[in-house]
Amino acid sequence: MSTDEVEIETRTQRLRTTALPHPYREDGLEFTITDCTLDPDRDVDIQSGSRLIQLTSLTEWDHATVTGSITVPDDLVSYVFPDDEQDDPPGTLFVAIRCQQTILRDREIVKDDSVPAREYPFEFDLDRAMIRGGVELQPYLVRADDRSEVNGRYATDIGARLASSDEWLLEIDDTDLPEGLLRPHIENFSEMSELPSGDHLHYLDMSDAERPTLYLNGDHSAIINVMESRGSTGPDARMRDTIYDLVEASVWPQLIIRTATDINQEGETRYDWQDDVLDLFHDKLYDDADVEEAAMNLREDVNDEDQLVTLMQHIDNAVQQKTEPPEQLINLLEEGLK
Amino acid sequence: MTQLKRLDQSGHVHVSEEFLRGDEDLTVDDLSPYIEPVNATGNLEELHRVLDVVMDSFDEHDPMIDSAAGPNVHQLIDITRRQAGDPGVWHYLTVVEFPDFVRYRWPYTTETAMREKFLKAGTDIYSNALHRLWWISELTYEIDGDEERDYSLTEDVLANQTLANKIFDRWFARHKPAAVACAEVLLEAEANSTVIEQTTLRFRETLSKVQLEGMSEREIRTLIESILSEVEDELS
Repeated sequence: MSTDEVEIETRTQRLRTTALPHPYREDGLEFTITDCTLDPDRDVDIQSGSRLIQLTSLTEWDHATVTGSITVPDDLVSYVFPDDEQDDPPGTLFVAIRCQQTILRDREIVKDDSVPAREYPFEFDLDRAMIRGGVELQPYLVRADDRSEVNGRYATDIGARLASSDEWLLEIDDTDLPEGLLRPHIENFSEMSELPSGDHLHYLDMSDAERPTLYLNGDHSAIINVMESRGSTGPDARMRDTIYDLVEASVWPQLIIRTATDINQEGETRYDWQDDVLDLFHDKLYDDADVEEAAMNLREDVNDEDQLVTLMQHIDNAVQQKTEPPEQLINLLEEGLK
Repeated sequence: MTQLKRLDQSGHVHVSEEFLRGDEDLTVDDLSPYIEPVNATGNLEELHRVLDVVMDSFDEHDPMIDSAAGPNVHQLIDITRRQAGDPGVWHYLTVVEFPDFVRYRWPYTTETAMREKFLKAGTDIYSNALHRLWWISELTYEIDGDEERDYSLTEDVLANQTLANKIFDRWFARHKPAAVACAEVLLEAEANSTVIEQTTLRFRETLSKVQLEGMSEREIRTLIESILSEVEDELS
């Protein structure tokens, strides 16, 4: 992809072009995790297709050893480094380790100083005492030497982002939704005039903007019984997860749009729950954006009618990243085949 | 040592506006259906004693309370990040164990603001009154030559409300080397509020181009120093 091509892509990429006035490849690295072992010597199934390692049903462990590799392709080196550096490209290759619930941003260096094109194996431990909920693992290649005295199209600053790849997720615990958000109340809609008609499955009540409330329609008792099931395996659990995806696909866009319209010029939200929405979606809405950057982008996009279609695409993309509907549907289909 | 507990979210309905104002008490009995033990301990008896001394030593709502209380909160609630990541633990500590301290430190302005001091936590560092002190301490304490925790940077950060606000309300502070480097550089420069605001803002903007985790603490420090220098030149 050339720099010119980046200019005409979506808003996220245009932002990146503004922020990264140098060659950068979002999917330039090949990032593979091959094994995850819990102490002592307990292998865990990894789901390569969905880049997921699920440990939620496993409690008796203190350390997880993650093994894999990052490949730096030839064409990446020639794209992000100038000619005179390509024999000995000054870069740092690392895996960023992020855990929202434990306020953790860390890294595991895979290769530093020089990163010629090839495959780099890695192995590192995660200490369970440092993590909770979900842990994101994302590879980056950044510039290692200062080149600020040289003009040109290439990155010059130490730490400048050159390439990345999609992240893997380690699910350590069942994800705790921010307290209050999407915790449903079950009511029979047919008996409550302030709720919509009995055909509805759910309704997001925003009349008290400080505390949006999600209602599930108790009139549909068969569905509600499944939604209240507590298991983690079996047909009810699979069906429950799929139904929740359906509900979330409708509810999160409403909450994101409402958040966007309430963000002020300083990028501050109006209500606490909107901070939780930004925490959950900032980097999914705008690749690699932190909360503040995502807040400013959301505010700008929602107030620009030319950006609304793109914004809705961002929101749809972000919600699908969160809910991963294909995985839930495949689980459900596999359950049906048993 | 006392076993720590958590307050489940279903107990939040009992946290009334009157309680937040200090006009109503909540007892363990009131909340017992919503309280459950967690697998962690804290020296709560000593923390009660220390926070009483702090309250005797400072005026009500004096921000300097943070500097005196923060390291003690962190040392006496000596839990892992995993344990600290459970919001229910902080809700129990503010609502059940230390409500008087929360009200002494924070004036009642609105119900929403006070509810946040008691019942927020989680990924927002700058929220729950005790959670905030614990996390700022966690992200700024250093290990000295005797392998002991050194909280001198923590105390200095918490003694400067603008600095604490501008660093820990920003996403980069979750990277401990960045939080430490930023705090040290701005404290060494004795930066005023405008300089702190401008430097942390520009540092955040720079992070759209560079990846923090790919830099050493020395490199982060150099970057912040250069931004500070630019800001000071422009403002002089």
